[in-house]
Amino acid sequence: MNSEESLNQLVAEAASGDEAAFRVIIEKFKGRVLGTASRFAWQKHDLDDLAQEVFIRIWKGLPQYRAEAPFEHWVMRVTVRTCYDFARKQKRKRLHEEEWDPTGPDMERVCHLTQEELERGEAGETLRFWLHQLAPEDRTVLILLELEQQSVDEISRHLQWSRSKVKTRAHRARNKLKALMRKERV
Amino acid sequence: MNDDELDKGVDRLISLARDSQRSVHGDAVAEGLEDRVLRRVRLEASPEESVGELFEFFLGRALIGSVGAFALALLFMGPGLVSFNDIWFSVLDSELIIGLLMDSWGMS
Repeated sequence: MNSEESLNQLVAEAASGDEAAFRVIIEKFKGRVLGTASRFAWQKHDLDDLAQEVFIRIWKGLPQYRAEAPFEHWVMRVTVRTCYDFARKQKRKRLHEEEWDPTGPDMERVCHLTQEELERGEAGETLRFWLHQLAPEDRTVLILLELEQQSVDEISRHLQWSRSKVKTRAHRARNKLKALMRKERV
Repeated sequence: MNDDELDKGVDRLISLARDSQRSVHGDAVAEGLEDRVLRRVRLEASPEESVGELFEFFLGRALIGSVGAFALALLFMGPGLVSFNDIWFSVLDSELIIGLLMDSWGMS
């Protein structure tokens, strides 16, 4: 039995209610799910809730899974949809002032970050601040396209948006990001 | 900062953020995630079971509390601070109060 067949077997068992099989599925996919989810949820409790929600939706959706696409694609689709819903719930709330400089990061400085600062994750923190000022749709499309490096086709499939909507939204989101940075700092 | 510089700044920021560590919490959340998900799966599958578990939990605590209070009362009997009758009547009183409450709720 090859790995695809054994995965299909696991999926079939989990779909019929086998928790042990579902445990193996979680172990197998939690790395990828957490990778994407952690671009959306930065607090530990939010990330935990989001990851749990993704797997609960996968569990509930398993009986409807029809194996027309690889299981991994289906898992990522559920993950992206759940992350998008999470982003929509968060709206445009500003991050806590204790953790974030409310005036925003200095773009002059951002353009000259050193390797050492990069390793400390300063770039990620800075971008996170700006992304959080955007509407959920803009934030989601930028995260998927620019950070997760998903193709327009993939994003279109995951979010069930047309290809042109993905492209237009990404272009607008990037312009909004620049406008926000300019307004705050320049 | 002009538009071109800002464009380059955004590109650089995105490129650095892409390569930086995704989240410091990823590993901590991954730990035991299977157990937490499966617990939720079970809870959502049988909500009445979880209510039952909650009831058992409080009933257990109430029982332990009552036994503890009775043991404490017996301890006070030693130096003569309270008599057995005091304890017995307080038990009867609480039964009376419960009875009155049940009456008022139309349960008896």
